[in-house]
Amino acid sequence: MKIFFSELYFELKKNRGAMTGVIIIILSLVIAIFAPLLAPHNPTEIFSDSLRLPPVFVSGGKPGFFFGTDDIGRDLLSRLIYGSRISLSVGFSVVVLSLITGTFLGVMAGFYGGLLDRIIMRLTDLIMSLPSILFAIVIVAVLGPGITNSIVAVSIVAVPNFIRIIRAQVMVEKNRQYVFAAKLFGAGNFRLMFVEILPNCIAPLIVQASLGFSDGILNVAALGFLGLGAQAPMSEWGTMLSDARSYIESSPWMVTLPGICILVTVLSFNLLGDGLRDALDPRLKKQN
Amino acid sequence: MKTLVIFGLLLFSAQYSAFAKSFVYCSEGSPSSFNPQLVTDGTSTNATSATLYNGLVEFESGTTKIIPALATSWEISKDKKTYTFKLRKGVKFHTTKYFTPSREFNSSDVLFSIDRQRITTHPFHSVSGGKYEYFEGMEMGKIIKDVKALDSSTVQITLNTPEAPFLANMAMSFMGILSEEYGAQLSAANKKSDIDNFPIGTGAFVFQSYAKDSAIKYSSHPNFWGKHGNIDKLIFAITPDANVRHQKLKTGECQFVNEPSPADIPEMKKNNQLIVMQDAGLNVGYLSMNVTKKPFDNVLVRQAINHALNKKSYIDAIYLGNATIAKNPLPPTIWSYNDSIKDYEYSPEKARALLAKAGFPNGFETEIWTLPVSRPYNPNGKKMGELMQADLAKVGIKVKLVTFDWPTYLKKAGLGDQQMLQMGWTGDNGDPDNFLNTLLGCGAVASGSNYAKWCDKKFNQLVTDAKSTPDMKKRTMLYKEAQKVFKEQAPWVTLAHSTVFKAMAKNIKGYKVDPLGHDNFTLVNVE
Repeated sequence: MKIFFSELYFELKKNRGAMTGVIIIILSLVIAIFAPLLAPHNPTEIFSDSLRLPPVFVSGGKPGFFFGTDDIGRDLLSRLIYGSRISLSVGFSVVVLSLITGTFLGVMAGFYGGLLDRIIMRLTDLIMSLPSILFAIVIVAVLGPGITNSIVAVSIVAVPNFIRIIRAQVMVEKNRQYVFAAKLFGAGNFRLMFVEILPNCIAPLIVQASLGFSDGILNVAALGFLGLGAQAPMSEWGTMLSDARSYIESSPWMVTLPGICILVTVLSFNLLGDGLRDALDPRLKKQN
Repeated sequence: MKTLVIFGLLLFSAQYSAFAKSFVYCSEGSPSSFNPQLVTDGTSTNATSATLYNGLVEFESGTTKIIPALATSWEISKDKKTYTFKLRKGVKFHTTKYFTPSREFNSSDVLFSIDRQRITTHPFHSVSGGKYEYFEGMEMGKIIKDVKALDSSTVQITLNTPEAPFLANMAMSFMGILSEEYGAQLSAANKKSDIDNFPIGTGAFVFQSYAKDSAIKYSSHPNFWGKHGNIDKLIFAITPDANVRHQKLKTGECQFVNEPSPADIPEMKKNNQLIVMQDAGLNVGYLSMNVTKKPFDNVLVRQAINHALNKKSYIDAIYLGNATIAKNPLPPTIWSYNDSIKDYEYSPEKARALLAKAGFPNGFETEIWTLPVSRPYNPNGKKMGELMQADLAKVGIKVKLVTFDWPTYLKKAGLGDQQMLQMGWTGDNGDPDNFLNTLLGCGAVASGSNYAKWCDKKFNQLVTDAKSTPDMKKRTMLYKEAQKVFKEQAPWVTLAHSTVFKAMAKNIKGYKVDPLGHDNFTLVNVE
C-alpha cells in the first residue's frame, strides 16, 4: 500500500495541471480550517451603513471590506472564506456517503451476481436515466430544503457511478487466482469481498472520488442557487450567487466573486482527478 | 413558385405591420384567466380588465376618482340602499374570429355579468370552477339583495344594508361587463368554458391570440366608445425575469416594462432614451404575527417584536430607499390615515424588557415565512427575512426562515399554518375599508386574507360601523380610532409603503401611473 501511494505521488508530480490542483486544494483547505482567524468580520454581521460597497481597490470601496459588501451590508470576503468551509465539507460528505454506499452495493452486485446483481443494477439504471440535478431537486423537495438534505440528495445521485465502477472491477477480480487461493484457505465471503478483492479495486475509486468531489460541490451550489440548499444566514457560494443575480448590472462584483470561487475549486478537483486517472490507468501509462 | 409567392406575401405583410403603431409591453407573468371575475392578481388584471373590459363605473386614469364608464349616470336612493344606473348607448362589443355581435351593449349584459357571480344556479356559475374570489372576498353576495333591469338601458341594484364603499367596489376589475349574447352563443355550441379563455368585452383592445408564457396579442377596438390613444397593436411579451425585461427595454424590444428591479432604477434614470415614472404606491408591506399561536397570543410579545425590528435598515437595503416607513396598516395617500399615531421606535432594550415582562427573558424559537416572489410592496422577501433574523437574534429570538412557492404560500397562509409571515397589499379601490376590513376584520379570518388571524371585537365593531355609515366625517373618525386599536394590539409589524416605478421608452406619451397598481394603455400614444 505504501509503495502504491509513493508511486502515485511520483507519477502525479510529473503532471503540472494535477499539481496546480493539489496546491489550490491545500490552500482552500487551509482557508477553510482557519476561517475564524482569516475572516476580518463575522460572516453574518450586518453593517447597515455599508450596503453594496465595491471592493477596496475600486473607487468607492471602504478599507476593512476588502471585497466589498453584499446587498444587506455583510462583508463579502468573510462570507467567501466561510463559504469555502461549507463547500469543502459538502464535497467531502458527498464523496464519503456515496463512496461507502456505492462501494458496498457495487461489491455485493459484482461478487454475488444473479438476482441481487440484477436488482441493484436496474436500480442504478433507474437513477441514471434521470438528469442528476433534476433528481436531486425531487429528493430535496420531498425531504425539505436545507444543507443536510441537499447533501443526502446529491449523494444519492452520485452513488450509481461508484456502483458501476466497483461492480465491473469486482467481476474481473473475483476470478483471479489469489481469490481462489484465499477461498481454499477457508476465507468467508465477507473476507473475500472486503479484504481480498476490494483493495485491488482502489485505483479507479480514487479517481472517481476526486471527480465526485467537484460534482458534489457543483450540485450543492446548484441546489443553493435554486434556494433549496443552505438556508439563511449561512454563507454558501451557490446561494450567494443567486442572491446577487439581480445586482449584476449595478454591483457586478457581488455575483462575480462567488462564481470565481466555485469555478476555481471545481476546476482544481477536476485537474487532480484527471491527473490521478493518468497516473493510475495502466493503459494510459503505456501510451505516454 | 408557390413558396416564392408566399415569401413575398410574408415580406409585404411584415412591412405593412411596421407602419401600424405597435406597442410591446414586457409583462412579468402569464394571466391565470381572461375573465376578470376569476382573477385577483395584478398580472391577470392588466391582461383582462385593463385592456379588454369596462365596468359600469371606473376609476379615472391615475386617480381613485370614480367616473362614468358603461353607465353614464347613476342615482342613489335616500336610504342608500338602491342604486339606479343609466347605461351608455351605442357601445359595441368586440368582433373577432369567434364572435360577431348582432346588437349593442344593454342591461342584459350587466345582469349576465353580475348574476354569474352572485347566483349559484346561474348556467355559467360553475363554469371554470365556480370560485369568484374577489366577489366572495368583498362579500358582494351578502351586500347585493337584487339586480333588476328596469328597461334595456336602466339597471337597478338593491342592497341589504347601506354600504359606503359600494360604488368603489363596482369600479373594481371583477365587475367588468361580459357579453350576454356571446354567452348564449357558447351555451348553444356547448363550449361554455370558452368564455374565460376567448374573451369578448367592450374595452379599447380586442383579443387576438395568446401563447402561455410567451405572448398575448391584442388589436385596437375600431368601435371603442370612449377616448383612446393611437395604439393599433398591443403585445404583452411575457418576461418573468426583471433583468431580462430591463435588457429588452434597452434594446427597444419592448416599449414598457412592468415592475423594474429597484437595483436597475438608477441605471434606467441615467439612460436618456427611457422615461422612469414613479408614484407613491397605494400599498403596505407588513409582517403579520399569528395571534392564535403561542407566544404571539401575548400582546407584549407582539409589541416587543415591533420594537426589535429596525425598519429603517430595510428601507435602505431592500427597497434601496424607494419607500417610506409604515406606521399604519394603510398608506398615507388614503383618506382617514391617522397621522397622530406614534410608531414603535427601534429599540432592542425595550424589546428585551417587554419580552422579559411577557415571561421570555431568554427569547424563544420561531419561524418567519418569507415571500417567494418579488412584489411591489416587498421586492426581496428572502433578504428582508435575513435582516429580520439578525434583528431578532439581538433580542434572543431564534428565527428559522421558511418559504414555499407562491400559490402554496398563499394557500397555507390562508389556513393559518404560519407563525410570522411577510405579506403586503396593494389597495384596489382606494377605500380604507379595502385595507382595514379586508385585511384585519373578523370576517377575513375565515376567508383567509386576515393572516394574523386577529379578531378584535373593538376593532371589528369600528370598521363594520364605518362601512355602513354614509357620513364621510363619521367614517373618518371611526377609521382613525380603529388604527389606534390596531397599533395598541400590534397584530402586525407595519414595514413600508413602497414607491412604484414604471419604465418606458421616450416615445410613449399619455401614460399615467395608476395608484391601484394596474397598467392601462387605453389613453397611451406612441409617437
